[in-house]
Amino acid sequence: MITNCHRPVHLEKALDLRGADGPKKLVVAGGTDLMVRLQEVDPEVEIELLLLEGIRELEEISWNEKNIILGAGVKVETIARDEKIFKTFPGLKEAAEQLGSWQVRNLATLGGNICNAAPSGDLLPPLIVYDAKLELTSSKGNRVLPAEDFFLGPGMIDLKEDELLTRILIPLPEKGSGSRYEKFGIREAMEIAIVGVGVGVVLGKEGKVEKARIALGAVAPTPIRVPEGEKIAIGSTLEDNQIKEIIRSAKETARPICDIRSSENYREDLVGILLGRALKKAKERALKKGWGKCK
Amino acid sequence: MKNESRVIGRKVSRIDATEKVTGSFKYPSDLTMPGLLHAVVLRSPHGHAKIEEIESSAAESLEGVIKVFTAKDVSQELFGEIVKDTPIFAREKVRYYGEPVACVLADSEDVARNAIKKIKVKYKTLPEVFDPSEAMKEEAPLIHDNYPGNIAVEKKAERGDVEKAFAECAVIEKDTFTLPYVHQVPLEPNGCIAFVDERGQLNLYTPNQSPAWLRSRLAELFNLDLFQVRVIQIQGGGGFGGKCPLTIEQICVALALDIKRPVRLVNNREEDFYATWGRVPMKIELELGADKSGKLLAKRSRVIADNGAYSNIAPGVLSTALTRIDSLYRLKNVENIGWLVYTNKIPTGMFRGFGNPQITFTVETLIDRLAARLNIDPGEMRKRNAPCAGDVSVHGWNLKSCGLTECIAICMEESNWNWKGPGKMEKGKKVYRGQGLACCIHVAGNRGVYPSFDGSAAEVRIGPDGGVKVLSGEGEIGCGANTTFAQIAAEILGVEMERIQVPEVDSCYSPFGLGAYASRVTAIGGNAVKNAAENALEQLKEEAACLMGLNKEKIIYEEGRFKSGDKTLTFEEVCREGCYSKGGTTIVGKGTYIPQDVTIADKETLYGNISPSYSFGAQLVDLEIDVETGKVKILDFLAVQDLGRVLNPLGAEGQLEGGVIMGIGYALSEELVLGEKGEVINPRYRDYKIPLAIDSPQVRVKFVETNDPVGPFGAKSVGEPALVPTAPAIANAIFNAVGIKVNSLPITPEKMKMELQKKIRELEEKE
Amino acid sequence: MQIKLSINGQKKNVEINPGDTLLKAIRRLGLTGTKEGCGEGECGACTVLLEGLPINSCLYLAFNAQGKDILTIEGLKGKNGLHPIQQAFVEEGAIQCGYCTPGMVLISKALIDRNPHPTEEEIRNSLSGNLCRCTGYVKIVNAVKRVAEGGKRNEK
Repeated sequence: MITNCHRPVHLEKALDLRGADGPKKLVVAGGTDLMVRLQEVDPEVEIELLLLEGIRELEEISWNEKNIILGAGVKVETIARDEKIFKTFPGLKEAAEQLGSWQVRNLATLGGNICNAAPSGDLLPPLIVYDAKLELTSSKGNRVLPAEDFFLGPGMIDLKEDELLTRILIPLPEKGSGSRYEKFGIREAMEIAIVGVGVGVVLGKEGKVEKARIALGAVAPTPIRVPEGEKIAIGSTLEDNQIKEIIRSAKETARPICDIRSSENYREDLVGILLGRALKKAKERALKKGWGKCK
Repeated sequence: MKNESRVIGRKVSRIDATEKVTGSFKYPSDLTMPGLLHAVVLRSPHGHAKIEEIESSAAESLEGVIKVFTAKDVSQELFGEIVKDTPIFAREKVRYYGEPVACVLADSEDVARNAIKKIKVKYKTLPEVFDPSEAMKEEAPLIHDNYPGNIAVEKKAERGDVEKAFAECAVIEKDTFTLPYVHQVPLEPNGCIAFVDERGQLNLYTPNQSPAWLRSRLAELFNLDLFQVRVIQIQGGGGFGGKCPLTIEQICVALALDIKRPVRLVNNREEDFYATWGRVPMKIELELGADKSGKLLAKRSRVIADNGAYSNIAPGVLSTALTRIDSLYRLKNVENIGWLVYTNKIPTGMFRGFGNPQITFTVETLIDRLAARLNIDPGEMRKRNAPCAGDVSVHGWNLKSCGLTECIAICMEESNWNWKGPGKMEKGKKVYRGQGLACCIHVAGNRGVYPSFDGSAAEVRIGPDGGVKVLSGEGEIGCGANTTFAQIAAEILGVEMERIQVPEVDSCYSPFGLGAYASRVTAIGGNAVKNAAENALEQLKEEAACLMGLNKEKIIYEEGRFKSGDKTLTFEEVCREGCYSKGGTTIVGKGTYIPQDVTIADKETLYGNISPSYSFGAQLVDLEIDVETGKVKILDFLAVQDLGRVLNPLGAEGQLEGGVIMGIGYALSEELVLGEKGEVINPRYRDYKIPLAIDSPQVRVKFVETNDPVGPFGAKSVGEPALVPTAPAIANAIFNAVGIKVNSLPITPEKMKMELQKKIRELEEKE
Repeated sequence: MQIKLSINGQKKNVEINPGDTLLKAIRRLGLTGTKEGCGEGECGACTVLLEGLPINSCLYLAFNAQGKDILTIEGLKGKNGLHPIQQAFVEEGAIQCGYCTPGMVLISKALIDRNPHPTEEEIRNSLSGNLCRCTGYVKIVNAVKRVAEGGKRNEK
């Protein structure tokens, strides 16, 4: 049973409440995951809520020469509709627009999706691909963690009891970058990803891959990278036979489970399909941007 | 006749549309009353177990809890439509995960929901059986003592000589099909309010699709005089068959009778999957044969229907699966045997189409396989077998009108139909396209569900104010029946729709009608309303004659005026003066309709003309298959229905469009998945996947008007047949695209991918 | 605890428990046009417009709704009659059982407010958080198209 709601106006107050002694407070951002989970909790358990909605400092988006800085409270719908984000981080936009429904996206936040840490979380593979850094803040100070190090297990994150995720910093892509997020679900919306794949490549002058990042969602307890696949990609021009090798590596890295949505075999199969499509699209985007065309 | 209609055949907005679009319409779950108590059911966590002890004192001591009910507190009678095997609360044992074991009555729903968690029940688990084929074996645990082999019902429908007929076939196709458990998932979960008033009368506010039938079942179950039971139908948020059988009303009523205060019982989404019952799953072995011209000669079917733990309405569903499709074509030799088998699972019930979608899937897919082997266009083959008006089918069905051939022809003409045989897969091709066609027959008012009478009565009441009230017992469950009745009355009386009200069904004043199931409302209810309106008009003519001092025969009524020579009286004038001249009375036009030449099917042989008319349909789908993921995408869908006569294009189109999308869900994504104990693994919209707007094609619909001699203005049915051909059309399109023979539903991407991989391997082996 | 909500241009006091959803609070005020279909944000029957944006009121805390403008279906009709979207729904036959209708109408309004001339794909995409079991969405899409096209569709 919810006994109390705290709704601070400023981040400083939120951090104080977060670090304060006393009854544990459940942090609520958009509430789209939490409000459903709270229905399962025994009504005799007393819970207080720390509501982050409306804290302006958490809703800001700013750009500088190096990064985009997104507040953890930025709504998923905002990300889905931002033209500049689409041009710069298309995979993030693709993930955002496929999350839930329009109603859900108007409530769900970037930070909430991250801290919910569902293995299938849509925004997570792109954040990892873009090498996002998460700023974790308490009243005592800040620390910064690469996104992929934040996820410890399904619903488990490296967040201390007195910390809040406040900002997400994503470095601007280099020249020759191309990226993509591919998701598979039975229906075309409202789906928890059966498999999600994020890919980012940087192509050099001869169209050779100089950098590659691959992140898979819903095929392990957390979103995962495919280090061996990335190594294979580097130096290649992402021809079909090379892609085939990268796919083989990804399938070996993935540890899909069988659940109501899919068998493990089908998930593994989909990793290959989606990764192939994502790599091709990322390559196409990288070639379009190309040398001299990017800012 | 059609060109002269003022209202019939025109686009008319629903008479309740404005209330609904402004949010002022009250649904059953919106109702409240002073002193209302809330009931929440505790359900069994086991598939099969003895109940040893129920300890409810902890629950009862919670603040706000009024009482905890179990089997000992309620009527000990068993109920069920054909087989009476269901208790209100489980007694010595539970037979399915989700069976009601107890119920908490509290002053709020939240308190009641918390309290059920405090009830301690001691169970001793018993061996369970979930698969009907396993349940039929000798060694299977017995679910009901007096039903050996767990067979609730066994039925046959045999005609002609199948052995001889099969021997004459040029081609025979055979397969075993698995049709799944799917649920209606109406947007509004089921719920009702019951109370006993100061006079001792039981009152029930319910969305139940058949108020009259419900009333008689409750009177019988609780040993009440029928006149002491008042049922008021409040239009619910969707039914599709799930709100017809007794599923929660008996619990609500039992509590209300005991506590003598108003009781509200409304399912939440998860409960609705346990508390209202979905489509009867079936395993069907089908054998179908044709001669070399494509004429169907013989059909043999063995149907194992999954009853779940209790019988409910499923015996009727089995009968439908054993007979209905045979009258779609000119088949003369059939041998259909079926068993309804108990399993330790949620009982199965009635869902739009009854048993027709299941059996139609099997026959319509085998027809395409036969056509492929004969190298005959499947559309042409169906036309060759199509019946005509005047035919009497193999089960004695009198097809007074039949537009099947036209429906098929329209489908083929309007869809660039281009059949070239079953698809072949090619190496490296990533996307395949296919077209598929399927047909259906359906009833328009199936005789034999309610034991004693199947007709309908109506009244058209006109007061001195010129207002018209149409009273029918058929009710409105969302399909638009009330609007249809208003249209019929408006047409006959020559008045505008705005003048007409159709009050909700209230057993206090509504005439008899059995309600919305078996697609009976338009044909049977509509005819009663038409007769009542005609009767009212006759009475008005008599009044007009009186007022004009003339003989009734000299009066003409047109465009809202009673005329004779140069004398004219308006509708309003006749109403007012006519009523006042008789002391202020109301004109009460009475009409009844009793379907003629219609019979309950013979219990043993299932032979008999069970419906006053039959409607036909054909559907054609154009789809694309992504070979890599197995996903099927519908590109275009055309549904053509012979519904006799379109009374309201908006209503008829809406029913057909909605049915097709529901059929697409049945074909591609819907299935209630049960776990090891029979628990529902996906009791939520997130994982029970109905089509979304983005998944759904902009369905095209067309109608063939055969002007049936029986239905009002020639109308038949459209609501149920709407989804019957959809899944087989999709399966046939897949066969056309890639040569895969679908024999189970749903065709999920994963399933499709597995079949595609098999085909690709075959292709590679050949090379 | 008592909170004040701004609903359909009016300030209303409502008694809530801290954990109550906005849906619960709205319905407690007798505004039953906003429906509960699932309680989990999966069906859209509880859609309201919060500061003009569609949200699932079953996922939103009533506590958080303080100080924000809420539009429920009851607030859409103007003094001169139905909102054009409501009118289109009525005339196109986009309503059958009607349980999804309030949510559908509000999401359609939000769509047209944001994008006065959406394509069919954009319409279907926007409506995908609203389930309908009766209509197959066809006439709902027609109704929105009609408003998007700014007038009457061709009568058949």
